[in-house]
Amino acid sequence: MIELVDFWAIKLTSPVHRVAAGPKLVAAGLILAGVIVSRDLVFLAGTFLLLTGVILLAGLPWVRVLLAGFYPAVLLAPLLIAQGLGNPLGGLLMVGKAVDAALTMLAVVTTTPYPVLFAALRRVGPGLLVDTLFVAYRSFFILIRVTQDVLLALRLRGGLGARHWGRRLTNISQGIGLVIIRGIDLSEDFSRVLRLRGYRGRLGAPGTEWRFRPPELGALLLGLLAAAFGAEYFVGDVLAAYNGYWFVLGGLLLAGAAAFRVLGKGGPVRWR
Amino acid sequence: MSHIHLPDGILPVWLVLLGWVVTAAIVAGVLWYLQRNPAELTGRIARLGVVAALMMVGMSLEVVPIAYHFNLSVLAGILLGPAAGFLAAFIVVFMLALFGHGGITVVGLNTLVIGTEVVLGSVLFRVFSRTLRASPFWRAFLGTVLALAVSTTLMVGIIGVARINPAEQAPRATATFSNPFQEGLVRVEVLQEEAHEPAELDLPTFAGVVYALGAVGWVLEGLLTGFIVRYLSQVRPDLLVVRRARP
Repeated sequence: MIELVDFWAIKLTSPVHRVAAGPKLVAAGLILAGVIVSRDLVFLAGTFLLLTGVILLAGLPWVRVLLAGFYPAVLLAPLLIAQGLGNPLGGLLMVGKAVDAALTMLAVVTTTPYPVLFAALRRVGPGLLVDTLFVAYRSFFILIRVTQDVLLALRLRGGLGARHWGRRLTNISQGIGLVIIRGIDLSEDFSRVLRLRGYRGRLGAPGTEWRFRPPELGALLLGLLAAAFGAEYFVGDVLAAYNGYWFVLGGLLLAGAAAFRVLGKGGPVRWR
Repeated sequence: MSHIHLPDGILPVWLVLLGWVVTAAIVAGVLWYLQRNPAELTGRIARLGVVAALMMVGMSLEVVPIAYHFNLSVLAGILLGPAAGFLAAFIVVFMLALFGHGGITVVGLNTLVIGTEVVLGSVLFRVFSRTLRASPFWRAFLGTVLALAVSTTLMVGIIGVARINPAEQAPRATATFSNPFQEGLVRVEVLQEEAHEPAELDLPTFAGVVYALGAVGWVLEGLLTGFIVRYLSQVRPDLLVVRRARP
């Protein structure tokens, strides 16, 4: 999944991808804050429609992204079972929060290239920690490549076709062991490169883009509205009487994005 | 299983903040320790990145029938040592939260749970290496199963301490379209919530489900870690001895 997310963030160009990173991250943070504090199912449903619209507008394979967004809901199963059927709306609230928060994060990482994302993180976190995050992210792709080679070798030599589960587990474990050894060898090469280039706890990174054109202002406005509607419980329920409009807004954005996707230049994006 | 799969906004704020504060303090300590020794810094950063990436690969693979995913956290502890291993746990939990796997506010608590696995697994493997005459496979297997059992208990304990009470978080399910200019003239209530008896979280049932599903996962993860450690001990035994950085 991570390699696909990286591909979508870097290779796709859409109105969402073109929004400057700074305002986009602020807008996502505001939506996330609204989802975290909300106890309103209608608001959460409206936010789900809105985020689905954003995913469609970004030209992403929406079924795959939505499935990934629902993954945290599956992992809630033990807690929902323990809670029983006494409070179905409470269960829906947890599922709604999990899905909306996951979709918000996915909408950001699928439309923002990782160097830009890490550059923004560098402003709030220690440089050494962000460097480690960057190296881990980079290593992930190297390991994926090595893993694919090892799996291919195992398959060709019949290592994965063994009927005996113990034998198969041993083969897989040895494959992972080989990936670790190869990965650590590569990391030692990388550390020599870092040492050669005089690394002292800070990698170079681009700055965060801050522009305020209509798309950025629109994203910020949506973020502010989401935070306000989400926090309605804490500000005296003033906005609670208008939450239906948020749901309609989410529906309209979804319909507009679907129309843009279907009727837009080049027609619908096809993914294999 | 020893990962708090709770979305943001469910756990009490004090608990979430406590998780972040403790995690931040430990991570700051590890970073300070690493920066004291620039000669080891580059090597550590590169190896940490690879092991964290390996954990990410493991955590993104789910054993579907039992909703379990491999953590490879004990293996990370064995390869990196407890301090750098804890940092790897933080990195992995943070990255997974960015991809929607686990809440972003729960990163602190999740790091403590996974970090416990890393630290305990690393320490147990070293203790067993000195005290038991067992093969590397059994040392790693035992260390993994025990570390996972403790971290799962910690996770159940956190849920128990959180006292998640749905009655206190009664959701609202009414869509209203009020008219801001003439109050009451246009007010459409599309959905109307029904009154439900507030259901307390049944902690014993939760613990039962988690332990029942988790135990299968512990054994699977223990076997996987054991076989990997056995292979590494035959091919690259130097990787299993973590060098201590001289301050």
